[in-house]
Amino acid sequence: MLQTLSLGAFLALLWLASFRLAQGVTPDLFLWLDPLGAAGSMLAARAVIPAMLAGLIVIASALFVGRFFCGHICPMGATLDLAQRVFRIKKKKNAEPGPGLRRVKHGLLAACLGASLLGVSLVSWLAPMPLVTRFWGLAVFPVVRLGLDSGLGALRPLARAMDWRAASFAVVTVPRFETALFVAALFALLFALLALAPRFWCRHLCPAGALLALFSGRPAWRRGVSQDCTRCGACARACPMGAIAENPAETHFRECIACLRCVRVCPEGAVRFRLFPASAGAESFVPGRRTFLASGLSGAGLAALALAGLDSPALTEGVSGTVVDPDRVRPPGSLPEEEFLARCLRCGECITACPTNTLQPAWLQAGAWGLFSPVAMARRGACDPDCAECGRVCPTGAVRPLPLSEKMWAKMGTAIVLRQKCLAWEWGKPCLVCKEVCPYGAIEMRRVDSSPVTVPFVLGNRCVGCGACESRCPVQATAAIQVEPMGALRLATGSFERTGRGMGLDIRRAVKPGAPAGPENLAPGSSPFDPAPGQAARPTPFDAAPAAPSLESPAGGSPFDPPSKK
Amino acid sequence: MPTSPTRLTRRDFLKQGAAAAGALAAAQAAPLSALAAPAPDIALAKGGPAEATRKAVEALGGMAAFVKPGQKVVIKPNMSFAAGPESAANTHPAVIAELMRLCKEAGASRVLVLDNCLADPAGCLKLSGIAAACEAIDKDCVHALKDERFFRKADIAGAKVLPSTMVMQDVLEADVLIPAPKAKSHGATGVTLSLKGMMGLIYERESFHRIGLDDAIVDLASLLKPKVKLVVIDATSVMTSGGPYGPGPVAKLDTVLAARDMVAADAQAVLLSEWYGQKVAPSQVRHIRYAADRGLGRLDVEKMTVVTVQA
Repeated sequence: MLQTLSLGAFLALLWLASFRLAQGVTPDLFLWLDPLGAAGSMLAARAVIPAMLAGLIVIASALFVGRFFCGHICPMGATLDLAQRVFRIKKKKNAEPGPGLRRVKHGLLAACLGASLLGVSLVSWLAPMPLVTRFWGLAVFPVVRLGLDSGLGALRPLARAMDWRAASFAVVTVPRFETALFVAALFALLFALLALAPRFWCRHLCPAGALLALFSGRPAWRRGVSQDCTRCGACARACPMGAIAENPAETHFRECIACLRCVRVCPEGAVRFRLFPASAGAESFVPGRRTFLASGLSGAGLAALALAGLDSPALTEGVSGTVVDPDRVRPPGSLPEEEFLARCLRCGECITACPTNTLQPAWLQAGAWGLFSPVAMARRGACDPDCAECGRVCPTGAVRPLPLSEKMWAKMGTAIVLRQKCLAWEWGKPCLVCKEVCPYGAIEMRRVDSSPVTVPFVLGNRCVGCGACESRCPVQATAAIQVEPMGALRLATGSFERTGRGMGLDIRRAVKPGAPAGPENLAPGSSPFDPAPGQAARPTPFDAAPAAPSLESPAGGSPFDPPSKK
Repeated sequence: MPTSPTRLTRRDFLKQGAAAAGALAAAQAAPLSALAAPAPDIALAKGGPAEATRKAVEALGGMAAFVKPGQKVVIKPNMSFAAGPESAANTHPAVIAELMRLCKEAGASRVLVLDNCLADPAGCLKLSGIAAACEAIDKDCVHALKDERFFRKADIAGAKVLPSTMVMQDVLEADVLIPAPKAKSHGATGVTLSLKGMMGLIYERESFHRIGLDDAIVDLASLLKPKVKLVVIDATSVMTSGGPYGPGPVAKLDTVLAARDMVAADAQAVLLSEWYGQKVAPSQVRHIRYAADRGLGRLDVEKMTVVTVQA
């Protein structure tokens, strides 16, 4: 019951966020609760992330109610239970792996924390909340939306015939994501494993569950079995976690998720959950200290491998020798890359919430350690000047929540013109789409000798890197104007506007909604019109003569200033 | 007293048929009587956007001359940008709303205001003010269409560069198409008026820049010309340079222009203002000249009847 409500709430928040409708609420609520997300990302970022303190509270709750969270709140567990029911996955007889495999989750936990200790976050691979958010947001919702939109399309002839305007023109936009197949495949595997044991992930693999298990040795509120027990074993057969020992009166408390199924199935009414009941524990499946240490060290080793790599998240951008993929454009307001990667859960909240679909889960644009982290793909869509949802829905502050006035200054990168692909530069065609769509007036059309038409130049200090130009460039395949992370403003603290102004940025809207427009003219000497009949081919065929070189400046240029006039 | 629905008898049917035939004959005769006081080719009305729109259409013979009862009408505004009326990037909402009213008064069965916006559609609909102004008259009539399913392939006979394109289905099935652009400058085509504005009715316009913008505009206009009986250009305020998005200087002309043919309307609009700080002849605007050369209309407005009325 609570589990259904919880999954419903999780999906409703994510669905609303995906339509930019979850205003006034925090759609990332469930991400806050992830025990591993909290511990792993705070450790990796060496920072207290306020919202994620909720995850620490969940950890502490294990002392009192054990893994209640796993049984009732966690949308991952609920998703697996749902899949089991929907796909009618029957447990194969004698397929259940031995108790040794249950220790794997503890090993993964230690490895994840070991890596976090060195500042490399593996949380995105292992924590259940980011995993399940990606699954629903990036793999399931687009399919559902495509289905809804196709339904509207199929209804359209009828809606037109009946002149149901709203229905005939209604559309459900379909976001399209990179890596969706990969995300879905991972879940297909997790679903397939349900045939070996229900909640296979929760029993054997989930490091967040392991973290709770560490504190659930003997929770205050726990399972107790009265003398009425006939040892019929109905509870043990019903337990999805295999948390009931051979003697049904004994419980593996660290495995129990308090789903209460054993209470419901007991024909004698002998099983009850109470505060401090007389109860017997059973094997805990917690590996020894040595195994923990070894797992932790292997995680740290993986982190060391990451740090030693060419794509090390710890390298400082802009310093020579640091290689940055030109496609690694981050959402506006993203923290400096190292901190960003430490905090980012790769949950995909920002990607799901992005209304223009420009935010995409990265493949390798951010290196192997940045898989699934958000990158802006301008060719797919431009960052909307009137939107700052990515920062608002980010649970960890990896993308800072910014008001629109600040977000505008959070420069994502800079557009560059690929002159050899440009219709105006290379082919002499009168195209100015990039200028036409730039919301910031960052593109100037100038006359050059090499082209009969005016050609685009990017004003770097006015360009925000939103990608409007790249998204609409009419050239096929690679756009003739592209956003690179060059010049991106990545600030951990402080005002983007103040810092930006200090750097000489001059960012403003080309046309402010509601404000009268200022003057702006064509490049000198250019005209979009043909000459009047009887006039020369070009109104001003020549450039203005260059100013006569002054006597002081030596011809050919010099690294030195001219001698001062005395 | 409640009226009961009358049954149509054979006799009534014949009577009504005869009456309708008579009316048709009268309508056929109308152009003859019009010869006595010829309706102007172009009407310029001075005044506020709504009043001037009404006056301009009236001066041209009234909406009944262009829209017959029961017809389906599509109005094509400029609403490609998320900006308010004062920026002169979009058609003034009062112009579109007034056109809508006129069409309804003329008995149109359905009037839709359609555009494929450049900027985010929701922002365009809201900030342009066009959605709010028109929905007050008829609900769900303004739409920014982007999805492929709203478009149908149309072949363009005699095209120079655009042999076929995807056009809004509602436009292809409309009886009357009324281009109602804002008069504004355009860095690539000089001006953007009714001919250039047709680019907002198709699915994919990006290729225009590759295949030849001016020729493609004329190809598209040749396809839609049979549906265009009336053109209304909003020159109440004109973005004289920096267009189509702006920012650019806005000249207040308080003029609405109405004409029967797209080329004449655009040619006359070119003469209303300076563009990029210079006087321009309609023949200097390539796509207007090409359209005239290909027989889509006349650009010799100096030889046409132009009336100016006060609203």
